[in-house]
Amino acid sequence: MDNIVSGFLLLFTFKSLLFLVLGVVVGFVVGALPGFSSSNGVAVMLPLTLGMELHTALIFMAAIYAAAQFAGAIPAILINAPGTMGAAATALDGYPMGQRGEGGLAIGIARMASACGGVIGAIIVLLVITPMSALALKFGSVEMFLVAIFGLTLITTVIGDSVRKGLISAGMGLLIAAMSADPFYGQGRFTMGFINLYDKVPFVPILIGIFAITEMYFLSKKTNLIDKVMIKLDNNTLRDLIEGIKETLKYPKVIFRSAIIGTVIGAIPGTGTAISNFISYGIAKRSSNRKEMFGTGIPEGVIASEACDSSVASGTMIPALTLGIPGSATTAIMLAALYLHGVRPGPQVMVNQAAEAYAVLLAILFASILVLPLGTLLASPLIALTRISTSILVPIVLLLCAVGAFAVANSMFDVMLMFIFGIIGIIMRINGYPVVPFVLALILGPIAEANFIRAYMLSQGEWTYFFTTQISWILWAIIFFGLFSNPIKIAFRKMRQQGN
Amino acid sequence: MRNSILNFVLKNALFPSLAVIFVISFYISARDLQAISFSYPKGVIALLVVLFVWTLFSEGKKWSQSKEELDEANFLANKVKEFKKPLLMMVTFLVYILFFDDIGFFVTTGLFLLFMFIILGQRRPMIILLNIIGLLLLCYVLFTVTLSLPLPSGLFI
Amino acid sequence: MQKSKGFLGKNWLVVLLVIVVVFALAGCGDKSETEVSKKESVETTSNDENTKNEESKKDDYPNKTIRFVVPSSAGGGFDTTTRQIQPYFEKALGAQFAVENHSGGGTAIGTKLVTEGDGDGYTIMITGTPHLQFSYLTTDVGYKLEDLVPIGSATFDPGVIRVQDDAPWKDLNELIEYAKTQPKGKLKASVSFRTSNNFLALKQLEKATGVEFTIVPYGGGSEARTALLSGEVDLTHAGAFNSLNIEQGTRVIGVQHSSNDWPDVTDNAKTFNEQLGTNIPNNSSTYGIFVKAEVKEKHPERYQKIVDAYKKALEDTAFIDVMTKAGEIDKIRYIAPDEYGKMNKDLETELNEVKHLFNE
Repeated sequence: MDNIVSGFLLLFTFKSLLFLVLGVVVGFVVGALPGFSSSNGVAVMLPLTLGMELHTALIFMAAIYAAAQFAGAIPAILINAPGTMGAAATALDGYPMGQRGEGGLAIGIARMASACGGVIGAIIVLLVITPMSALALKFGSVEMFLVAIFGLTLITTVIGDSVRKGLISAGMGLLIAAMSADPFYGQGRFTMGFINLYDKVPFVPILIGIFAITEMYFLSKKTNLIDKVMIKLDNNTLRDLIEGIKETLKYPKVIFRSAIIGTVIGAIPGTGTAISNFISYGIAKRSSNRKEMFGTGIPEGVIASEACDSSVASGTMIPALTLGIPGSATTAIMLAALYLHGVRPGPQVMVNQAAEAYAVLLAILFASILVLPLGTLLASPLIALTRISTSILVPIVLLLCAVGAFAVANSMFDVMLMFIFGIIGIIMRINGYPVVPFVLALILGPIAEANFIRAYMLSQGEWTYFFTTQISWILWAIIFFGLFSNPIKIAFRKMRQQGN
Repeated sequence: MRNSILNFVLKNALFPSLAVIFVISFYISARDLQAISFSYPKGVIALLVVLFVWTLFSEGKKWSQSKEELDEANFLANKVKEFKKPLLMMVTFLVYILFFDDIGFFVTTGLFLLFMFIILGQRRPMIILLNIIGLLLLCYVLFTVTLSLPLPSGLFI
Repeated sequence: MQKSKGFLGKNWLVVLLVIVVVFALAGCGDKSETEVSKKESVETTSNDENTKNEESKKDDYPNKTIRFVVPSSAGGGFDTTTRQIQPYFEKALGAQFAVENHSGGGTAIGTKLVTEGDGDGYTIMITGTPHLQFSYLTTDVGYKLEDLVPIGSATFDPGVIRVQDDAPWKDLNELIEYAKTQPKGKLKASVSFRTSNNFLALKQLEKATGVEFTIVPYGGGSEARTALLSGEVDLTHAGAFNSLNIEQGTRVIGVQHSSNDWPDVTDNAKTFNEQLGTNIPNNSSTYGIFVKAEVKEKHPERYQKIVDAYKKALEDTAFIDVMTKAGEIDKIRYIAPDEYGKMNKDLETELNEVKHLFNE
C-alpha cells in the first residue's frame, strides 16, 4: 500500500501528468496508423526519454502503450485495416457497424470498453502483482502448447458458413507460418531463399495485406464506403460518446470477463498477446445467447475484443516488472529504458524501484481513463474519413498501408509481402474462403509447434508429462469442453426429444 | 451449355488451386529435412490433402450442376471491363512499391497519388493537387520528422 | 457525376490536428537531430560520386548523419548496448547517428544490409560474435567474415551455468557427478538456440565429461532463462551478464573461462576446468562494432577516424560513470580492431571444426 501511495506521488506531479497526456496523444497517433503499434511509438520515443527522469520516462511510455491499444481499433472499425492482431478481432464486428454508418458509435463503444478494460486490468495488477507473477511462471511449454491449441479450437467460432473452406483457410495459415526455420534445428523450410522469413513469417504485413489491401480493392468499385442511404447526416461526437458509454455498460459481464482474460494472458510471457482478443471474442461468442449475430456488427463483439486489448497492456507489465521478462515488444523497450537509466530489470526492481513500478501501473490506469475524453477529441475528425469519396480514401489508405508495412522492420520485403497477401486476400474473398481462420492459424501454428517440440523433449517420451500440472488439467478441460459442449448439448436434446 | 471453366475457376476454385500448387512445392522443397523439422508441416499437408480431395468432389459436383450459359468469347472482355478500375489500381500499387525503394519515397508517392486519384475517377485538379501536397506534407511531418522512419530516398529527395 | 468531398477540401482539420500534435512533440525533443538528417540526406547522392575527388583534397568526413544498423529489434541486447554507447560515440566522432533496427534472420538481415550497402563509412553496425559466425556458417546468407572489419569490441560476456537457488548441487562438479549416476538425458538444460555458443558449450561439456543432457532450444535467451526460473529445466547455459535478471532465484555454479574475472556477478563460482579437471575451451559472446570491409580498403583514414573515436567514446568518463551506476561496467571490454579481427577469425575456424555438433 505504501508503494501505491508513493507511486501516486510520483504520478501526480505536473511534469508526470504532462507526459501522461502527451503519451496518450502520441499513443493515439501511432495506434491509429495501420501497421504502427505501441512498440513503434515507444521505440521512437526511447532516445527522447534518456534525458528524463526514470519515472517520467516510464509513465510516458505506459501512456503511449495504453492509448495505442485503443487507437488500433479506429482503422479496424473505419476501414477494416487492423494493424495488430488484437484490432483484427475488433474489426470482425466493428467494421460491419462502420459500414452501416455507425462507425462513430462503434468507436464510442471501443473507447469505453478500452477504458473499462484498462482500468480493471490495472487495478487487478496493482492489487495482486506478486501472486500473478508466480502464476505467470507456471506456464511452461506444455501449458503454452495447450493455450495455442485452445486458440486453434477457437477457429471453429470464426469459421464461417463452410467448414471445408474454413479448414482449408486455417490449414494454409498453418503451412505458410511454417515457411520459417524449424524451432529445433533452425533449418529453413521452404523459405525460398529469403532470410527475412527465417526467424518467423512477418505477421503484421500479412495482416495489413489480407485485411486492408483486400478491402481497398473491393472498395474501389464503390464510390462511397458507407451506402448513401445509411449515412446519418449529422456527425455528433458527443452523442457517440454518451451512446458508446451507455451501450458498453449494458454488458458488464462481457467487460469483466474480457478484462480478466486479457490480464491473465498478458501476464504469461511468450504467448502471443496477439491471440488474447480472439480468445476473448471466441468465449464471448460461445457464451452469448445470440451467437449467430456475432460478426454482423454487434456491440458485444467490439467490447469483448477491446476490453481485453487494453487489459493486456497491464498484464504484460507483470512479468516485465517482477521478473524482468518482456511479455510484449513494447515492454521489451520499456525494460531497455530501465537499463538506459542505470536500472537492471529483474525481481529487485519491485524492491528498489517500487515507487516507479507502481507509478507505471497507475499511469496505465489513468491513461485508460484519459482515453475517454482525449480519444473522443482525437478520433472524431477521423470518423469523417469514412465519409469522403473512395477516390480519395483508397489512395490514402494504400499509402498508409505501404508505409505501415515498411515500418514494422524497416524492410521493403515486408511491403512486397503485404502486396502478395493483399492479392491472396482478394482471391480468398472472391472464392468465399474466410480470412480469420487463416490469420489465427498463422500466429498460433508456430507457437503450438515450438512449444510442442519443447514439451516433447522435456517429456523424454513420457506422454503423462502433458498432464502433470494442475494448470494443464484445467486447460485440457477447457479445450474439451469448448470442442464438445455443443455436440453434447445437441445429443442430449435429441435424446430428450426421442424420449418424448 | 455449361458454365465456362475459366469463369468457374475464377469464381470458386482459384484459391484452392493456388493452395494445391503451394502445398506441392512446399512438400518437394522440404521433404529432405530432418524428421523433427518436417513433422509439423507434414501433418498440416496431410490435413490439407484430405481437404483438397473433398474440395475436388464438392466443387466438381457444383460445376456439373451449374447451368448458367455464357458466351465464351465475350467473357474475358466483360471480366476485364468489370474489374478494370480495381485491377488498374492494384497494378499501380505494385509499380509504386516496386519503385519506391530505388526512386525514393516522396517522389514515387506523389506520382502514385496522382495516378490513383485519376484512376479512381477524381476529376477536379484542385482537389488532386491539394491532396497530394497535403499528404506529402503529412507523410514528411509524421514519418520522417516525428517517427524518424528511414524511408527509402533516391532521386531528388 | 458523384460529388466528392476532398480530403483537404472539407476535412483539412484532420491534417491540421495531426500536424499540430506532431510539431508539439517534435518541439519537446530532438529537433536539431532531424534537421541535420534532413539537410544531409539531400547531399547523399552527390557525395558518393565525388568521394574520390574529395578525398584526394581534404576529407571532411563525417559531414552527414551516419546510419547505425542494429540487427535486432528495439529493446534487444544489441539495441540497448547501442543506445548506451551512442551519445559518447557521436560526440567523439562529431556526427549524428540514425539508429535503424533491422531484425530478422538471426542477425543476418541487418548484417546483409551493411555488407551490401555503401562502403563509404557512413554505415556502421553493431553485432556479436559468435552470432556473426553462426549466421553465415549455418545458413546461406551471401556474406562472410571478410566482408566486415571490426572497429572494436564493446562487451564481453563469459558463458556460465546457472541452476535454481535450491538445487541440490553446490557446484558444477557435483552436478556432473550426479548426472553420471542418472540415466542419460535425465538432466534438462535450456539454451537460447541450437545455433548458439550456449548449445555448443553444453555439447563440449558433454564430450569432456561423458554425461548427456536433454538440451532444449527455447527460441530466445529470455525464454531459456525463464524456463530455469520456473523449474522446467534443471540448468541453463547463458552469458553471465545476460542472465543477471534471474540472479534472484538462481545461482552460477561454473564459469566457462580460463579464469573467473567476474566474481561479483557470478556468485564467485569456479571455472569449468578448475572444477572438473577438463580442458574445455573458453566460451563467451562479445558485442562489437563493425563496418563494411570496403571502408578500410578505400577510405583508410575514415576507418581510422571511426576506430579512434570509438576508443575515445569507451574511455569517456561520463560513459564509465553511467555504466558503473548500472553495475555493467565489468561487461564493457574494449579489444582493439586487429586483435578482435584475429579473435573472430580463430572463432570461425573453431566453429567450423565443431559445426557437425549442431545437426547431430
